Amino acid sequence: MVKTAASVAVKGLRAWYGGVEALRGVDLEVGAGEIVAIIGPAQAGKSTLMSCLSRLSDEVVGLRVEGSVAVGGEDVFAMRDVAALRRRVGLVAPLPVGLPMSVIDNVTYAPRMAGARKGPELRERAEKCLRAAALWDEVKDRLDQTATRLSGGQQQRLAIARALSHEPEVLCLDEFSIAIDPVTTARIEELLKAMRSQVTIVLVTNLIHQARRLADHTAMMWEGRVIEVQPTAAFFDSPQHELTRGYLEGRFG
Amino acid sequence: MFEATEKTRGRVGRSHVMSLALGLLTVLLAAPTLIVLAVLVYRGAPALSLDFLLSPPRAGMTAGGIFPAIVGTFYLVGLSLLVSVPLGVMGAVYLTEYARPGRLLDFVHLAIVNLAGVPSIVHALFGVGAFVVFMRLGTSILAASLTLAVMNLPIVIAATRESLLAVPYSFRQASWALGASRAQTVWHIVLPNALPGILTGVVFAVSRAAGETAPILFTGVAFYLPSLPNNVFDQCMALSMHLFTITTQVVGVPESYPAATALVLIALVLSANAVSVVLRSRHRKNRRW
Repeated sequence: MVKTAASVAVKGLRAWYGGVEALRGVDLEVGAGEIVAIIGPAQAGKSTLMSCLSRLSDEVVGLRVEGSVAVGGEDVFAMRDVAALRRRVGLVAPLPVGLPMSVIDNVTYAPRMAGARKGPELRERAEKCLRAAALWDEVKDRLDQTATRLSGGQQQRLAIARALSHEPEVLCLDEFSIAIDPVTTARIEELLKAMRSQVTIVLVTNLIHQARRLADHTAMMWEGRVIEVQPTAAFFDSPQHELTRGYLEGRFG
Repeated sequence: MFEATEKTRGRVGRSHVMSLALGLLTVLLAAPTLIVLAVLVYRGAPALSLDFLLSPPRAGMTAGGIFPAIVGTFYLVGLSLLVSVPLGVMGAVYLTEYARPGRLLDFVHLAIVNLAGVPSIVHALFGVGAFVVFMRLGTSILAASLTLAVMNLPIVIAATRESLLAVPYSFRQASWALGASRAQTVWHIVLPNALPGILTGVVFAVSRAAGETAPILFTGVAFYLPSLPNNVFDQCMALSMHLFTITTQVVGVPESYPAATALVLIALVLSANAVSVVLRSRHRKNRRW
């Protein structure tokens, strides 16, 4: 289902919403097939950074971006075909959004928009993606039901299945477990680990332990900058930055 | 376990009074429509017959039927919708989905809202100047339909815009994130979910196109025509105009004729409404969020 993982390199990325600076020069290297977790408080710029990776930042009115993002060595902001980029870099947004169409149509949406025809092949692919998102067993009998009637947690997993449907090289998960119970979260985490090396995963999470469980590297964002990146074990055992230490010990809210 | 206390019992009583008052107001709102319909049926029924619907006026419009006026109204409404709906929907899609927000866009919206409030007689004068004289269409079905279309354009745009904006922005974001282009997102996600609202606007446009007299008075509708129009460059008759004519301009029209004509006009508009209600409910069954 997944082709080849691609590396991600962010250099000097800055972003402004009108006059407000959301990213103040972000540098971040993610190796192909790695899982990198980004933690940090609200307003640190985590979601803005994610939106830049697949240039969804283009669609945000009033957002100005400077600096460079490279996926698989290619400069993202120089790309002509944004749709092709977005099929290479899948994004799952924090709030679960089932598109107002059937479950199966949701999962086949991306391939269909890229020109694939409906048929058994596409259905098979959809099944694979739904299995990968730990949703298949719950929806296999109601694939033709409207997706917006699924529960919040199911819609969240549907969003993950959908992001896998276009065989991305990079998968960006922004707070994917926000609406999912711990057991299901654990199942998805297992599946993410199994996908390692096939797809690069950038994970924004508020669950510090999720970063610890999953990530090869963990990064700390603070006020628009990545202030520390380390291999996960080292990150948690011996954080170098004063703010990271404080954050991990729960000294901030 | 949860019984009404002294305090809440008073509240329950007040709430009964309130819902009774609101119910009465609702009846009051519906009453004019029902009374108008009842009066028209009572006064128009004697004239209504298949012959009335399917034959042309005779004897200086004091006898015969209203067939040419029905046909004319169909022509005018149909042709004007053919222009105003595609243009209006495309315009609204551009304004909400493509145009960058800013002063220019605000100004355009202001202009559209104001245009919707322009009296129809002003549209009529515009139609005479633009279509009849400048574009040399003469007084014709085409000129009259275009005038009606211009009159309805702001209504279709406003209704479409409202219903496009009602589609959650998160749907668009999800669609873009999956590699769909703006056009694909509009076509597959936004428009299908905005359809009920657009339909409401279209029905309103139908009512206005069928009911207005002023915009077609100078641009393409005749008091009386002996034959049906052959093409869009001919003139035609129209129900609204015919109603005006036989009510105020002709002596000796049977009393039931104007009421019967009005009834036919209202029936056409209501059936357009009914069709949209059916379409909307069918649509709602398939989609929900």
